[in-house]
Amino acid sequence: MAGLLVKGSLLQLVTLGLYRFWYLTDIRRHLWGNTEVAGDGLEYTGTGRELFVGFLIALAIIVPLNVALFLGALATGLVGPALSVVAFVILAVLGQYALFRGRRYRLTRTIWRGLRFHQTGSGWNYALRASLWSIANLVTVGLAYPFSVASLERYKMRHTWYGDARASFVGTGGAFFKRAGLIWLVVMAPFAATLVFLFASTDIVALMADLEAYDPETSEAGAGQFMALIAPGIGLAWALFAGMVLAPLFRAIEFRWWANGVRFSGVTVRSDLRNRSVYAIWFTYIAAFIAMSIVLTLVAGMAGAIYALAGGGAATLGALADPAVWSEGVITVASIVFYLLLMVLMGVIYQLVVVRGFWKLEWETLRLSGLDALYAAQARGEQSSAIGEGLADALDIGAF
Amino acid sequence: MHSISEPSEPVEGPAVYYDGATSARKDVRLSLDPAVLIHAADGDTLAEWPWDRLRRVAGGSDDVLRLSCTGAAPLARLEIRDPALRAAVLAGAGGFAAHDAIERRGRLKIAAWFTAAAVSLVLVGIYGIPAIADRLAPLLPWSFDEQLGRAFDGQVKYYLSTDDRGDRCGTRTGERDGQAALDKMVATLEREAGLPVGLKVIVMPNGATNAFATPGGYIYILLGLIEDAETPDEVAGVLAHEIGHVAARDGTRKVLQTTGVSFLFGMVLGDFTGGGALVVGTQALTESAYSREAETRADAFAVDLMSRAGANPSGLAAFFRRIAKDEGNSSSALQLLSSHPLTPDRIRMLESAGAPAANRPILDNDQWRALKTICGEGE
Repeated sequence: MAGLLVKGSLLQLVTLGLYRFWYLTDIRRHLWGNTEVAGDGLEYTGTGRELFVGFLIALAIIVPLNVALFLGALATGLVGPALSVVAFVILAVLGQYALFRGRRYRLTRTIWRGLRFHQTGSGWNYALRASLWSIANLVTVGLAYPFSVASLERYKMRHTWYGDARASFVGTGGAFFKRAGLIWLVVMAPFAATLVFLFASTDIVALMADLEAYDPETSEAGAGQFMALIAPGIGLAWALFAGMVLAPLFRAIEFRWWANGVRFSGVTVRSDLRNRSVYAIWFTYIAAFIAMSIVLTLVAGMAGAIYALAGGGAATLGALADPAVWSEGVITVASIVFYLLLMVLMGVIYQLVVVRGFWKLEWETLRLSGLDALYAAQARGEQSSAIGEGLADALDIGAF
Repeated sequence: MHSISEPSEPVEGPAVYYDGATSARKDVRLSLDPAVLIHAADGDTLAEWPWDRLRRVAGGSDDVLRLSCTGAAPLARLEIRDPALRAAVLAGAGGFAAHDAIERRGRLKIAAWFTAAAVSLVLVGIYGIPAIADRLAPLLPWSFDEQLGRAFDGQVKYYLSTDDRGDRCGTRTGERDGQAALDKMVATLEREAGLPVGLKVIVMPNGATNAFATPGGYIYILLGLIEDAETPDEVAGVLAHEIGHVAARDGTRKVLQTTGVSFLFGMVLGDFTGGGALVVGTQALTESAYSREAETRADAFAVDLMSRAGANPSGLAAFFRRIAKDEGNSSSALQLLSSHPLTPDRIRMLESAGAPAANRPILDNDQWRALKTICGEGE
């Protein structure tokens, strides 16, 4: 896989990212093609061309939308925060639509035992549900998250088909909440508490007025209220830190809960994913990142030393140009090359360690029973267009 | 043409067949002469796949050969694990060399065309969009500039306002004289400039030494600039320079340009590793080349405007030189210089401005003292 990753990322570089549709297709083909479910191989039949066309269609939607937002801003004078909110809401709903449609594309390009998967259901219906749930998550500082995932998964899975066999989802938000609630308590509760404290115990208007008048050197006035503002900051910092440390654990819990809730006709699923395997992948990635930075820095340092020893290069070519300017140019070019090299290598390592690592780990720890329920499915469902993938790409929320 | 070499001896072997209509897995036997014949356990021939329509499914692992057949059911598949049979099928299909070559050539073409497209888009970003912005800006109605300026106005005030002073000076009782002096200076210059939009000049209570114009005649002078200036002609020179930007519609041009470039690069080229750096680099490059040109034009405009208003056009040069000299010990001065880079050409141009025809000071001493207190009495 390393070969196709290196080749693909270099082509990405020279095409300024336009090659991404083919690069992504190659990665998926490789992952699907090397996965077997009960002895039968998966196959990805999508093509780079399809993704590219989907992207062009998405441009035809997003470009007029952006122009309309720009003109709207001009007409109403709402360039600042108000327009950002409007644009964010529109693009967020569109993004949810894109995610649902993107899933449909990937399912209809996934072949197993000579039949394709497919997805019914309405992208807009899903986008509406997902958007409403997002609001609920925001208001409850994440407490509603398990229930939102459960509800959206129920919608997605009951519209998921393998041929004429229909899937469903039996996982409940309550079960997820029970397993992950402690993480919420550690990560989000301090932040939520400080927010509640701020909104409930303080008169915000008076607080703002106090802060206007607050002078750290001359007055002690308003110090108590000042703490009310500082506290959420500390709460947020803690949430970010603890969230980063516990995110792999949370993902592992979520994946197990999700897998255990999936049903496909008579098939039941169980995941034996271990927490430490998930952490191992991230630690491997971090270690690879550090090792590679050290190696590249050493290489760059050595190149610099050789360059300096060789008389600054420019000095020997004195007549060519002003040595100072010349060597500055060399250093600029060298650091750009260094940076791009680092980025390409990091991208390759990420795909190799994280993307491929999780794909492998999740499939290998999956136990399916009652698979014979799927052994007599009849072909159904057609290939869908890649518009969802295109939209997700144009909105920079690339799924998978 | 596909090279079809007959297998040397009739080879048979086990394989797995999916017919593409049901998910049933059929254990079959293949025979390879004259085509790939798929036989069920009871000996019936289930399908016949001609050699020249055989395709290898890409992306699989090495120890299974997965085949499809154009013309058969699109999802019908054959899976061969038996090594001898695999080798025989590969040999029979000529290693799929012809088809692989077509695929490779296709990829190469895509990569080549898209590289060309990327180069072309970058060139459009560097040369095309500024050229469009240059030609488009003068065609737009001035009301467009004013609308843009009004939209920016709120943001500028939001970012530059201070808690104790609000967003502008010259409104409180002690500051009325300063505002009157400013109004006089603006009126003198505006009369000579003959702009199609009215100027909206305000002084903001911000200590930085800077001034800038946004589209549609909005000009913001930061208090630090008035504090650093030693004569009214210096302030007037900077003001005239900013009026030059308004007259040339540089702000509108810049909005058109950045919108175009960020749209082009952000949307079409997409996010990829290292791409962000390239985009920012290109953008910085086009902007700095463009802004040097615009500054020079605004200088020329300022010198001309000051001469016509009968003020001393060397004020601007004097001010910039002093700022440059103090550069080491004043960080706020750096802001002015970074947005108004002082190139040798610029100094030469500014200094070529001769003595004024009739040196009428743009403000008298009382007015100048009043202007200094436009944000209230200083410390």
